[in-house]
Amino acid sequence: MASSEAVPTWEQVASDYGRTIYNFAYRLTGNRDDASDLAQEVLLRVRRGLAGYRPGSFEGWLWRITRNAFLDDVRKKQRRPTAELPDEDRSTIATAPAPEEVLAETRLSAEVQAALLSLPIEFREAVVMCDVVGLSYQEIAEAVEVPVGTVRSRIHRGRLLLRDALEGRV
Amino acid sequence: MHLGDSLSAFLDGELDTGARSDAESHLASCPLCRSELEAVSESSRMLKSLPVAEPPAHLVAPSNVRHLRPRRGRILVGAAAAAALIVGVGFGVNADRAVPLQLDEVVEQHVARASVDPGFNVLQVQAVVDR
Repeated sequence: MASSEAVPTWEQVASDYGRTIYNFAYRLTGNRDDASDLAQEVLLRVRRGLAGYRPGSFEGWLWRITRNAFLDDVRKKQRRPTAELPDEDRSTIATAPAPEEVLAETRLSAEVQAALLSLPIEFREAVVMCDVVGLSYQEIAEAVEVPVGTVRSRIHRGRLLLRDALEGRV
Repeated sequence: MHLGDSLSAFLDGELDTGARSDAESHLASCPLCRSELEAVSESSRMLKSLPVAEPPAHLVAPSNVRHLRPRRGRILVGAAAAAALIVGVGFGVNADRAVPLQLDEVVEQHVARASVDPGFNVLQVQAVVDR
């Protein structure tokens, strides 16, 4: 969002970013209930914070709120064990038989999600912001409040860790 | 000297022209860096191909309301348009309508409800849509 644009309303933020925020939350937490709670908390914080927002880097502002809400949640819950089955595993078990390739795809998604959950938080959030949300390194740096060089390093390291984790699973 | 985390920046188009050109030259002669680039590319590709999770409706409720706005407009004119429809006069409906619910269905429902429920009015319909 360009700095010349007016401050968006909360409804616009929810409408334009709600789905992306939920997906970010879902990939970071690995389950739908937590993702839903987290996305809701983010939207509440956005609603409270919009009055004080001055046009600037909206993406950086929004994702900083999102990321801080996630970290607060993690601190509150003392980080849940990663052994819990991701939702996709449950849905695989619960659904009727599907074509083999669909099952294989679902299984792979579950493996990737499980591998993602095994990464330390700073690497997980970096790769999710980059590859799932599609933020630029600069936007991630603003959201996480670290230099761009640190973002670059975390993304690279995160991808290598993900590869290592997947090699042990796939 | 290997490329290290510049490989991900290279993959993501985050290097400036000079650095990109240096990286390309290095990659042409370094199998180790090529292999590492393949590894991070594969991780990135897998993350990008994860299915988009569908959020619960209440999280995107504002977008639902926005989606309903064109329909609300038709509901508001519906009472007045009902008579026109009854006498067979065509009604201009936007061709880009994506919602399967048709104007005449809305009007029909509205007229049917209004005819049996004197307390029902257009404002109530709007309140329901806005909720």
